[in-house]
Amino acid sequence: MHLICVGLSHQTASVALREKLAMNEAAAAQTLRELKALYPNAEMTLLSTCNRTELYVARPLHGHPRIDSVLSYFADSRNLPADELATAAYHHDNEKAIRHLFRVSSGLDSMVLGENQIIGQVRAAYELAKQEQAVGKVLHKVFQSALATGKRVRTQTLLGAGRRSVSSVAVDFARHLYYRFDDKTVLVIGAGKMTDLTLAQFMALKPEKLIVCNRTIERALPLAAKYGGEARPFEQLDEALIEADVVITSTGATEPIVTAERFKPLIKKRRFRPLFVIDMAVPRDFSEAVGELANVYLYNMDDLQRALADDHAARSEQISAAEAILEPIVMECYTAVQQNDFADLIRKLRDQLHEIGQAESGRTVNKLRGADPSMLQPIIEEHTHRVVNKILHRPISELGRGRSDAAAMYATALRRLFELDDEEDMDQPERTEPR
Amino acid sequence: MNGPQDWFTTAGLIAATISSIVACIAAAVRLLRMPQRGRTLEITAVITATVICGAVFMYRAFAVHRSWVPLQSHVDGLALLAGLVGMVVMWSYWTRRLQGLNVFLLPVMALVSLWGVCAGWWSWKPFDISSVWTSVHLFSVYIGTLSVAAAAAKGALWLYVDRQLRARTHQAQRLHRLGALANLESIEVGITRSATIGFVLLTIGLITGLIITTGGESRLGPGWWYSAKVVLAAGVWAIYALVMHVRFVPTFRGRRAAILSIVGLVLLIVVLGISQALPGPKTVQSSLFKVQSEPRLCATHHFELATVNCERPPKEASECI
Repeated sequence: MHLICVGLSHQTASVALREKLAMNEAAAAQTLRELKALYPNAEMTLLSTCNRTELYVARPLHGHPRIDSVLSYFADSRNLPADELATAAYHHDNEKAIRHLFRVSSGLDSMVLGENQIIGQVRAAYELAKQEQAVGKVLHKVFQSALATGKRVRTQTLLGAGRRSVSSVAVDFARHLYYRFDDKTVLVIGAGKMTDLTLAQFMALKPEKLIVCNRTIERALPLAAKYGGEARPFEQLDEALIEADVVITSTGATEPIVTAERFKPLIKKRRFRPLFVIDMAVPRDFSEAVGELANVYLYNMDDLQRALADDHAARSEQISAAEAILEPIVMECYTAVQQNDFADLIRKLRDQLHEIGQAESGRTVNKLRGADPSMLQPIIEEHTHRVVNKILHRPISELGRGRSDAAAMYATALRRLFELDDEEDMDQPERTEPR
Repeated sequence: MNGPQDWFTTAGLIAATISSIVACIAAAVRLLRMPQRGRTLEITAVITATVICGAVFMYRAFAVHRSWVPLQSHVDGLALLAGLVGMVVMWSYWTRRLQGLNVFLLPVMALVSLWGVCAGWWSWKPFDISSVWTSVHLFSVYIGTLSVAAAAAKGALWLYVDRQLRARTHQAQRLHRLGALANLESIEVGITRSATIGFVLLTIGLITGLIITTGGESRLGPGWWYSAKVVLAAGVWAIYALVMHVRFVPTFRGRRAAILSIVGLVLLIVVLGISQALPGPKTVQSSLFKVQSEPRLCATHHFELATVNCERPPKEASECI
């Protein structure tokens, strides 16, 4: 099997491109179903977060999908310009793909170094692929190892210790805008885990009022109750925006829910008060134009995470320690994947040879019935000769096709596998030319 | 220069200017490059400049004027103003409420000290402080100017912090820099407070100026109310009325309030320049040349409406144009 990883991340693509490719659980499941229908022999897992969208594929060595096919599929299905996608996308093969996944799950590839959320996202992607029956033996092994490695790196290094989170950076930015919070109103749009985490940081500042606004009011109620706030239906979002001083938003909406056109009429009603907005959604909930308006300070995930970028430099020692843990596990996993592949190969070879043996045995048994005892030996010799010829027919044909690189490789393999060389020659695998 | 003792004034104010410039550079470098280094140099330079300004002010009161009344000339006023700016800077170090204000106030201090050097060299003239209105006028104008300068510095700080908060590049570096700066809400409150104090004092200065102008000693003549000086002084007053009421006029919040506070200071400097060059319509009509060449002519040193400073000793009050 050949393992590939195709995708884009915060390191290669802007938030504008990432949000077009980002998928929620339903969209990811649909994508897996479609890809599985197109390439039934391949194993697949799709990891889509606010910072990356990556497809991990294990396919037969000369099978499909290829990298180009995957990129074409994404470009077509998400209406993206193919050249823009190709420029931002990256791909890795075999052990490089495994190493990349391990780095991702360990938080080494995250914008916020060592962050914990990514391991949950990798697990969710794996579970979804299992649910869609898109994973086989190879990806089971790779993803289970990735999750275990992510956990190990976090426990055995100080990669995540003392780091600031995106939420704490958001609070830092808010502190540069406001001096006091006990007269401020915090508005939360969406009731997901991310908003909960950020809200926890803001509630420590003891704001005067909290409003939780969600499409389904039933989901807003527990979050509002948890922090002593007020839940409001989505229809009252404009009124809530007029009251708010701080907005934390992270919904699953595919289009911006607050555009400049929607927000402009509210500025006067807000009496030109400053508004601090943390948009943690990908795709973004506030259009970029809102941030250009006077007295509006809009921060998206990229802005917040960029503020943490210097953590990478400061933690170079921890990064080295994490990579030292990672490297042997990557090789071990790749070897295991290969061995798993070899086991399949050996089983198939055995089955094929047995088929040949059984076919010839049937023929020989028929000949032996009623045969003179003096003919037994020639019949058995003929049987053996036929079996050997049938087994060797295809390999010898391949070797006879000239002095191609493939033929040279097969010749070397034959010499080594069947010990056809002298002992001296056996120690010199570089001599690959066929006789 | 009037007398050998003025060399000390000039030397003192030059030293204060240099110290202010050193502090100014240290503050700017500290903000832009290394927030942790250069603080001691900056504070030492500010203290030195402030102490020198105070010493010059005291020296001029007791050694030059030989009087317990300290504020007797424009140079005294500028030395006092520079010293007060230095004290505001030190207050900002102490409270940490308006971090970063020093970066924008220190150039003002350097400018005022330098202005003191120029004023002492070219236009040293004592004030006529025979009237209590003049004393009130001078006090309100100088302290009012200090407030206006503080409001302008806070306005500049607001714009800088706003820019840092809005920038989309080098977020880590900017966040680090923002850590050494005050938050926008505090700065906005600071602008309003300084503008309020400035507005009240400038109003007092305007009223006392009117009293002095209409009290028979005016050099602005019969058309004083439409002179450039009066119109611009009223303009500054109006701007400060606006800035002070920013809290109640939401349209002028944030950026507009910050820009207005800077415009207010610029306009104040323009008023001063015009008041130095154009004493009033009567002078313009009669003899501008006379204003520039006649040593006994009055020269106002601030935006005050009335003529309050005349070269001493005037033979008669009426000689002041």
